[in-house]
Amino acid sequence: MTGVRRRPGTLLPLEAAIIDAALGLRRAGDTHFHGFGIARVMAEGDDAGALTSHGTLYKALGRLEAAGLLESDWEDADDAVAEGRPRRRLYTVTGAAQVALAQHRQATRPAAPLGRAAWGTP
Amino acid sequence: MAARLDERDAGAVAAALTRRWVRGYTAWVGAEAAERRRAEIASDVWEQRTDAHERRVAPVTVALAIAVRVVAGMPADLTWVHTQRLAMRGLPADRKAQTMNTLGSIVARWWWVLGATVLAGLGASALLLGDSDVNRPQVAIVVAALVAGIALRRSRPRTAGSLVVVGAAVPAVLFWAPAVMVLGIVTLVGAAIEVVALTRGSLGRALAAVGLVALAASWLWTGALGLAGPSMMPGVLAPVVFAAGGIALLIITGSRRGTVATA
Repeated sequence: MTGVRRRPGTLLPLEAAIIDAALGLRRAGDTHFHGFGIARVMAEGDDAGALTSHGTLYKALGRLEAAGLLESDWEDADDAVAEGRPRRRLYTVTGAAQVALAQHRQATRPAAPLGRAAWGTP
Repeated sequence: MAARLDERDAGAVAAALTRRWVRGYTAWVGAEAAERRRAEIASDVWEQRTDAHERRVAPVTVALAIAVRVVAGMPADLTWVHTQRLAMRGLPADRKAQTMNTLGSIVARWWWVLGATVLAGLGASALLLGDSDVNRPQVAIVVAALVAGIALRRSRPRTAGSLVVVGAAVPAVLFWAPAVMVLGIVTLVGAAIEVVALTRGSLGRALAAVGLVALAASWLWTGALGLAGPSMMPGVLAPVVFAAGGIALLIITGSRRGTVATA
């Protein structure tokens, strides 16, 4: 495998955004999500409002699944046929994803200001 | 009405182009991963178009948004292909051939043979239809090398690759015919990669590459001097030495791996 290696357990910003959005959906009652669904949720929470590109999104979903942070399976073909649309690949976040997101937030939290900055003085 | 139809078509065109792009790059990975990626993108595009329709977004805007997502994701698509192919590297050739989907397998193994076929066809046309400027002995040798290379592709792949390297060397330097030159270069490189890939060990591969370069250089040298006439005589020894050295290196580094897995 080539490319830049990163520490096991760390998340890229996009991966953290996917998990964050998926956990938000789960809190709202949607335990499963599909690729476009999560892209739309992320776009709605983003100032730019742009949908994540196909290549970037599905590569990130694949990485998260390989890392055990997501699980996925094809939905029942009958459901898709009944609604007259292509079959969706449905993802769910795992418990490990919640832990990984918490660790990511801890690691990326801005450092507490020191010295004069802590007192808000110039 | 026509404008509305065109607008609706824009979304369909974007979806079709997306489908083509996905089919193109997934042809290079395992069948399972390819099928999954194709199905996921097909579903994604359908959902995006449906979502846009429900939000009353203009079809042209949706088509543009889909196109932007495809184009922006191309680098990630290509690195994904690279990663998938690296993951397949450890698999035995037969298993890999089974795993690769048909189009990818055929293209991966036969693309330079297709190039050689086109070059041989062009050479044969030049022989039959070309005017008196055509160097017929040289073109005949090029065509013979290419045809022999194509014929031996299955039974003697290293020999076939070497012959195609020789045959494609002349087209690869025809700078006044850019299309033929590009085809020649692509075919030559593809055949050379095949020969090197079928050679065992790093040193063997390096020597095989040197042998191919020597062989191609000797043939080009001979071609530049002309195959006939007195002008060939003064420098004839050097190309012969290069050719003999190249052939010797290729024989010495010859692999015991006989045939390659068929598509």
